[in-house]
Amino acid sequence: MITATNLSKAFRTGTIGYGATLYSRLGSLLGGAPADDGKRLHWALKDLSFTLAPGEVVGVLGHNGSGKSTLMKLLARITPPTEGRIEIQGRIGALIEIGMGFHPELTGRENIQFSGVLLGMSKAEIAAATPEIIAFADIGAYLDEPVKRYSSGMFMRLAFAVSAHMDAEILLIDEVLAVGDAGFQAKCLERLRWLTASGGRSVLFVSHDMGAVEALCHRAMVLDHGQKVFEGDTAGAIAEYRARQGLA
Amino acid sequence: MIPRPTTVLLPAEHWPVLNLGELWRHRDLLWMLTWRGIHVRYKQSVIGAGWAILQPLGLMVVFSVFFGLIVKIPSDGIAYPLFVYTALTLWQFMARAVQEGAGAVALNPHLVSKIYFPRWYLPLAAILAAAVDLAASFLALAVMLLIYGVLPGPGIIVLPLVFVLMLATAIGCCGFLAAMWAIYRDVAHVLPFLLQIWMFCTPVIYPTSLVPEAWHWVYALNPMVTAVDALRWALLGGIPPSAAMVASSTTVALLLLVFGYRWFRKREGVMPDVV
Repeated sequence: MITATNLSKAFRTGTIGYGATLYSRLGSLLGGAPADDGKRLHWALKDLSFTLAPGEVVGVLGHNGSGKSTLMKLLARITPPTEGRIEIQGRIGALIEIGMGFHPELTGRENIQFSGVLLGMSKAEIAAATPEIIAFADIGAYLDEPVKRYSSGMFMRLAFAVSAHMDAEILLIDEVLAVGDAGFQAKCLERLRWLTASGGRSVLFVSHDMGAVEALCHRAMVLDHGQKVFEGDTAGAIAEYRARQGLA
Repeated sequence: MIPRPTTVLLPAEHWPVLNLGELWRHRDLLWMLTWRGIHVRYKQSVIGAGWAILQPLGLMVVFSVFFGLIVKIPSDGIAYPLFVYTALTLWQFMARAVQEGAGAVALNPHLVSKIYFPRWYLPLAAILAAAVDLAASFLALAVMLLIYGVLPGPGIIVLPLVFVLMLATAIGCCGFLAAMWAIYRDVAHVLPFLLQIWMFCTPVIYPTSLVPEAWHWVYALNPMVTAVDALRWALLGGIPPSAAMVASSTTVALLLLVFGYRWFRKREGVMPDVV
């Protein structure tokens, strides 16, 4: 279960301040460069509140830059909110950027281990899930080759397999369906269907694939420029999203 | 499974300064990152982990020829190769720990900005990986002691203290530098230069006895001075560091530890947004 209250996230824009060189910072301190540059903020998310009840599958829709991924990053603890509060009951599993914990020099098998721990699984859980992950990824003898020798398709298959075998009460799923060939995509969708339907998991589902949203979600919300503009039944949310895209 | 009944996520300014519970819960990851660091470093290399021994040995040979044989730098009556290698084991550890620990956040953006875990583990794992190399070069040191027929005295019991002193120093430096490097790329350019200066300020190729005694406590504001002298005294029977030197070094190391930890922790929240 997730309860988010008045959630806001601001990013600094421009390079002075953070991501700058010390020299430019010194320059602005000495009055050489415009000093207000570092203070410009971009509000990626503004005053968002919602709850995700146990067993609920909720879609999050919105155009690129509407704040969907920022929301996911906040919930996954990757970056802290600027304002507001999130209360989470249960363990969070994030299928956000699959394969992010992979190291090119490690073999597929070693990467399963490493990224499993990175995703918050215990060693025993990883050991238990490994045969299933290997069967799901289905990459044959390449399993014991360094990941840098993989085709991008193989890489994504293994990455998805690891993420999709995480056992968590709450799942955050962000645009992970565009993986591999048609056959594997169908397999992924099947896996997601199983994940969302079984074990009473709560799921927050971000996608631009309206078919998948319609198939998986109980309800949905639409974000626009960091604000929630719609929350309700899935069909209504899709209509709202299409209208805002000018697709009506 | 990591038990997490209720988690409350708040803006970074509300984070507690000390998060030891959090660090402990994710300890598996620290071992994994350390293992990965060591494993990846020597993959696709023929000599592999042998490099951990060959690097200080190579430096020892070069230093012994130039500083020992040609310049004839005094070494408090200890055979120069042994004198310099003993210090090199510690110095190479510190240089590697600080170099890799400082870059650990900035050079792993794909981890920092894509997934949650205590960021402290990145520099810590780099320091632990360097410690494994230190253990390997200590094995070579033991062999050298055998060859030179040097038997360490009872002073060898201070070895863990030497390690703790260096660990506190490394953690403090890495905490500060890793947070700085994540935000300001300048650190990448300044660091090799600083490390070189630091080495010259450490009695690696010359003995502390060359520094005027009245200044020893100032000299030992560099904790590596006491670490090197203590190890030389324990293993080779050199001149032990004075009480004033131990006091200087310990104070600086502890201050660095507290300062570096806090500095890093305060900037932990902003790291994913800036790396």
